[in-house]
Amino acid sequence: MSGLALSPAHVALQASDLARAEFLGFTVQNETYAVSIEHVVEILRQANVTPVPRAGPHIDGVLSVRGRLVTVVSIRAILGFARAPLERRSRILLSSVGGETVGFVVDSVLQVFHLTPEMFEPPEVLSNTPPAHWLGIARTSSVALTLIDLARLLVLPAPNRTED
Amino acid sequence: MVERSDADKAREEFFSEAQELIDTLSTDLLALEESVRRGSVDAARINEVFRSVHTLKGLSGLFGAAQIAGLSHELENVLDDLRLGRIELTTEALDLLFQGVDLYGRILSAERNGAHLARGEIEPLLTALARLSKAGSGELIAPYDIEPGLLGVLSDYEEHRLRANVESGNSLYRIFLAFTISTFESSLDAFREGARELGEVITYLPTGTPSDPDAIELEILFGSRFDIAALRAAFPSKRIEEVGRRRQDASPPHRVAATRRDTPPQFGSVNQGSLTIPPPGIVRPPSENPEHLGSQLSTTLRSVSQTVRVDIRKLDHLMNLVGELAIVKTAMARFSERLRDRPELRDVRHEMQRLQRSFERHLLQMQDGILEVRMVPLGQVFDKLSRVVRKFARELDKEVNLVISGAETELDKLIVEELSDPLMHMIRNAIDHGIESREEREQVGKPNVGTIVLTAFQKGSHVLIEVEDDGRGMDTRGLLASAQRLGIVTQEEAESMSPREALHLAFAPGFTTKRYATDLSGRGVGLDVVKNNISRLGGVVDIASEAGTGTKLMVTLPITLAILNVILFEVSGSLFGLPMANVEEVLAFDERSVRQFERHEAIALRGNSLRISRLEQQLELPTSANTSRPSLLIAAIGGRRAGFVVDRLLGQESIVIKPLGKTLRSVRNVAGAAELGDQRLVLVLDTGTLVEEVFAGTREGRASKGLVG
Repeated sequence: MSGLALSPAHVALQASDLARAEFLGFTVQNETYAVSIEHVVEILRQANVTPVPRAGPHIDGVLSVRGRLVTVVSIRAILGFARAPLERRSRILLSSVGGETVGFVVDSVLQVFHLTPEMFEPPEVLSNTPPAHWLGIARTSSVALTLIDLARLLVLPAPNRTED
Repeated sequence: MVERSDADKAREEFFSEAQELIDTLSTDLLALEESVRRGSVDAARINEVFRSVHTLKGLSGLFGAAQIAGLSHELENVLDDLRLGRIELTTEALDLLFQGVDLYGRILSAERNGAHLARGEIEPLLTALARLSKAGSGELIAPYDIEPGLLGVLSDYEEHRLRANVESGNSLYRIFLAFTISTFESSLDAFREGARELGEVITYLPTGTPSDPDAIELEILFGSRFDIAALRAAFPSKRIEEVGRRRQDASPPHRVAATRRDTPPQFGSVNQGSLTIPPPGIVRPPSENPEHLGSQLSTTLRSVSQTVRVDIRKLDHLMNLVGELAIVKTAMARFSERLRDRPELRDVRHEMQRLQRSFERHLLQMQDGILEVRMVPLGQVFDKLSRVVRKFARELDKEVNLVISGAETELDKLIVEELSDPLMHMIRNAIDHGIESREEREQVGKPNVGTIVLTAFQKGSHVLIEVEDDGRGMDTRGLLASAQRLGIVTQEEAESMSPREALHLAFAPGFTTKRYATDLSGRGVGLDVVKNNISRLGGVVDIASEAGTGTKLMVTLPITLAILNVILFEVSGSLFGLPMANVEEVLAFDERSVRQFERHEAIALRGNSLRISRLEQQLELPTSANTSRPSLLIAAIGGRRAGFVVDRLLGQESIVIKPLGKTLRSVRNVAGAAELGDQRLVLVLDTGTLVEEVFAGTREGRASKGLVG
């Protein structure tokens, strides 16, 4: 099992949290997602990601951001979509997960959404057993967003993680 | 870097200083035990121990570490009795002292996490120590009626002065003075000066009961050869009391002691809102050797050594800066290269190159300097291990003698820290499973006392650590049978295994000694854990054993993890590095020289077979089209050697390696990554796992058996 610890902030999203919540919207495989802006440290455009041999299918590689080593993972691969090369609109969202900075590759970044409680619906409206990384969904006037937790997303693909 | 408050810094300082003292204490106790075993008691050593405990007590008093202060207090009493010969240094006393050192360690690690140890963990030892010191010290009472609170706050110097006064037969007085707070220091100095003819101000303490809010009342402990009448005449308006003397014939007249253990010590409590009072201490009688006193005096005034204690993260930071400078250096080289096309700037280019060379030289020196600072002797871990040996041996009722050599061998601080656990497991295994019981040893004609030899030495840029026992050794047939039972190998595999391969089964995951047939206590730790810990440090473990004679575990470690000389090369279009320390030789690779042994490839090198691996395949990289001039890197680690085929060599570079993140922890062959001058990232491969994988492959087929370099 992975040793990644989920901070309490990641665990549950209360409707009341949304009163002042800002979410960053992005797309993966033409779907629109959003993560709490608090969990995004930085958004990178082009970057030279160095592949790491035998690191597992969801790992893109490593990247040096101002001297710090960042692991880059592919959200596409984690969600089971086909991998795509980094394109002009691709971005890497840097987030701190369990004390480590991890980069999540997304197809494009949309904008920051200010969500209010009435826009929010719990994940159970879509499924009795929603995936662990879903926090809920949100409907704005223009778009429907799947709100997700990046740390939990990282715990999902466990095929080649063995010890601790 | 994380900014920390001064208080945190001071706390950190306290912890590291305390830890250092505890380590010293442990070393001294071991030496003491050794001297007792030889039938003599090393008096100077007892003094050393006493001094460490005393310093620890003072330190913990300052930091409000009450449990340490309390323990120190009791230990100090026992040690004082020991050095004055009031009680004898028996095995029991020695055991209690060792337990004290253990307890210090536990209290300290609890405190470091902001917790306290439960009373129940401390009280029994305190009681035992108190009982021991009482046993020999019935006649020790306090001849002077000085408040324990006052004695407790005396600095070493003041204590020394108090002693000097008492020794020269002066009387002690309490003088109560009131000063205005704003001018109290100068007034006190004036008083001190004025009173010089009459005697000496030993110490002072606020009474906490000033008559006026702007005033401060001090109780002054004054030593004087005059009687109280003379003093009253000299200070007419002051309240003066003589300190009562409760003389007893049995005790030397100069011995001063506070009441001992009448009340439970109240550490760190605030006395009448004015001062923090450490535990009631005792004022020690003059020591037998006056130099000792002198040295103690100087430690309090200035530190003994010219050393600075530094947080290792600061050194990491400096090392990273060196890495950044190396990047600048490369950029500079490229720049001067560009000047080559401009003949008119030839002078500039030459000047630039000269500067570059000088920059490079200094950078190298700086790098070496930082590395040197990170080095600590392995003795730090070895001392802890000697304690562990003592403990385990007693628990398992075996007699074990630990012989240490090479404790002065130096390794990177971080590695040394990480080594204590694996080494401890290895030693525990040796005592538990290696060394036989007394009866068993007698039967086979071995000495009663088992021996474990712990050796360290440097070999090139590696350090070798060996743990060798003279126990029963490992029976390869037994190992094979167990491994088969546990489903680690098939019968077929077992039958065709070389003795060396069989021994290596001991490192297989799931092969815990717990299930090994000859296990006695069932508390063994799997050697696979040891192996993983070591390989995380970039090292390897090897094993040699002979049934009936003993077992030897050999650990090979890099001297430092902070900076690496790597050889750079390309495989399948990607850039990689391998530590130069592991590379023995680089050859041009000739496809025609390869001999196949079923699926195992080898070449002949100076009459020996050398197993080779195509890195592209081993790392599961896409096949590259063009490998016009492949090279063969011959890498060796822990006595094993293999050749790795790479596409193209790119040169050599010093790099500051950074570990991969937790997410990539399961990646086996990569030790870390580093940024090069052109901002490319290079992955540094881990020689240990690479070589190991090459040979692990041999288990499927027996053909290449015996090809081990």
